[in-house]
Amino acid sequence: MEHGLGIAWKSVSKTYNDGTVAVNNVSVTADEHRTLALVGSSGSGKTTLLQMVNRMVTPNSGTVLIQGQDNQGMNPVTLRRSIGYVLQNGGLLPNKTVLDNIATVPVLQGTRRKDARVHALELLDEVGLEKSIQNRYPSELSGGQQQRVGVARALAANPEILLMDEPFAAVDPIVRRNLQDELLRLQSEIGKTIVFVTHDIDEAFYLGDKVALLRPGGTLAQVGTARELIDHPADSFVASFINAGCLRSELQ
Amino acid sequence: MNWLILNCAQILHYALQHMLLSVFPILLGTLVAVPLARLANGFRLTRSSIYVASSVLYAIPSLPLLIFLPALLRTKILNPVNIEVALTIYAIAIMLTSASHAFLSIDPSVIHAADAMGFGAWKKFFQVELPLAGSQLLAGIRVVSVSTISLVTVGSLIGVNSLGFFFLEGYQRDFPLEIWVGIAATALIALLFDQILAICGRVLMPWNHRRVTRERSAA
Ligand SMILES: Nc1ncnc2c1ncn2[C@@H]1O[C@H](COP(=O)(O)OP(=O)(O)OP(=O)(O)O)[C@@H](O)[C@H]1O
Ligand SMILES: [Mg+2]
Repeated sequence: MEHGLGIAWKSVSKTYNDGTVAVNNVSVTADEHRTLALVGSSGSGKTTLLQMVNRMVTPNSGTVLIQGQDNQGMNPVTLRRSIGYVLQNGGLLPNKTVLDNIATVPVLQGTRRKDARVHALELLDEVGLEKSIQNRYPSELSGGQQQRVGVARALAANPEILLMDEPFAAVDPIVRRNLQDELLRLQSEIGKTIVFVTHDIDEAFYLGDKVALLRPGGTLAQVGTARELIDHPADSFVASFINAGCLRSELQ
Repeated sequence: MNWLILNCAQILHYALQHMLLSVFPILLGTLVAVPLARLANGFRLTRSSIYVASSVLYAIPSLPLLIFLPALLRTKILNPVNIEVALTIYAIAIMLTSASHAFLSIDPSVIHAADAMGFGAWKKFFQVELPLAGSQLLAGIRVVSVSTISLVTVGSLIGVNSLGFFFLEGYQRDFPLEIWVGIAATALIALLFDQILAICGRVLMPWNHRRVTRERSAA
C-alpha cells in the first residue's frame, strides 16, 4: 500500500494569486480501493487539495502521483474524464436534462448517446432517485436530488477514482445517513479509490478507511484510522475537533 | 383604398424583397459577431475594445457608407451587395456588445463544472457556453432583426428596392397613404421576424421555459 498505488500528494502547497495560502506542504496518500476522508473546517484547503488530483488546481510546489505517475504529465482533459468528480455545489449543467447530465462523461468519451442514456437510467436507480425525474432540468430538482444526480454522474464512466466534495451536505440528517450507508454498500461492491471531503468528523469516521484532518491554514494535523485519531490525537487541535464532533453526536 | 388594391401585387413583391434583403445581414452579422465576441472575451484588452469597436461601427452614417462601399468593394452602385454589407456591419456592431455580455453572464461555476468533467474547448463552447448564453444572445438577435428590417428601407435611396420604395415614392408624389402602407408593412415584417425568433428560442432552449424555476440550493 505504501508504494504509490492510489493517489499520493507529495509535499504539495498552493497559494492563490491573491496571496491566500490554501494548502501548505501536505503529504498524504489515498490508498487504492479505499476511502480517504479529508476533513477540516471551512477554508482549510479540502477542495483545493481535491482539485489537485484532476488538475483543476496546479500546486505551486510538490507533486500529485496517480498510480505512481505524476499527473502533471497527463493530458488534463483525458485525466478529468477518467476521474469521477462530485462537485461541492452539484455542478450540474442547467441546459441538460437529468439523464443527459448523468450521461455527460461517457458521451464525451465517445459512447453512443442512446447507450449512455440506458446506463444513466440504471444509475438513477442506483443512487435512489425516481426514474420519473429523468427528463427534468436541474432547476426542477431539490438540492438533495441535485447532489444525488451529481453522484450518479460521477459514477457513469465507471472511473477508478472518485472525488467527492461534500456530496451529502444539502440533505437532512436522515437522508444523509441513508446516502452514507448506500455509499458504503456501493463501495463494498465497486471498490473505487475514493477521496471524500467533509467538514463533519462523524461522517469522516463513518466513511473513511483513513481520515486526514486539516488545520486552518491548509496544513495537515493528523492522518490515520478513526481509532488512531480518537485514541491518540496528535495534539489539542485534533482532540478538540474530534470532541466537538462527539458532543454533537451525543446531542443528536 | 383603391391604391392599396391596385398595388397589392407590388406591395407583396417589395415585402418579399424586403424580407430577403433582411435575412442575410441578420444571419451573417450574428454568425460573425458571436464567435468574435467569445474570442475577444478571452483577453482583457480585446474584451474592453469590443465596446469601442461597436460604437465606432455603429456611428458610421449610413448614407455615406452606402456611397463609399461600391468603391471599396469594387461593386456597381446598384448592386444589392452594397446594402447587404452595410447592414451586416451595423448588425455586427449591435451584436458584438450583446454577445460579449451574454457570454460574461454565464455562471462561472457551471463553466468550472464543465472543465472538471473534461469538456474540451470546442465541446464546451457548443454544448455549454452557447446554450447558456442563448437567451441573452437571442435578445441581441431580436434587436438586430428589428434594426435591420428598418434600415433596409434606406437602400431605396441607392436604388435597391424594398418597402422603402413606398416611402420614397409616397414622398415624391406627396401621397401619405403610400408612406403609411410602407411603414405598416415594415412593422408587420419586424413583428413576424421577432415572433419567429421567439419561437426558435422556445424550441431550442426548453430549459428556460419549464415550470417555475426553483432557486438552486447553495450547498
Ligand atoms: N480561486 C481562488 N482564489 C483565491 N482564493 C481561493 C480560491 N479558491 C479557494 N480560495 C481560498 O483558499 C482557501 C481554501 O479554500 P478551499 O475551497 O480549498 O477550502 P475548503 O476546505 O474546501 O472549504 P469549504 O469547507 O468551505 O468548502 C480559502 O481561504 C479560500 O478562500
Ligand atoms: Mg470546499
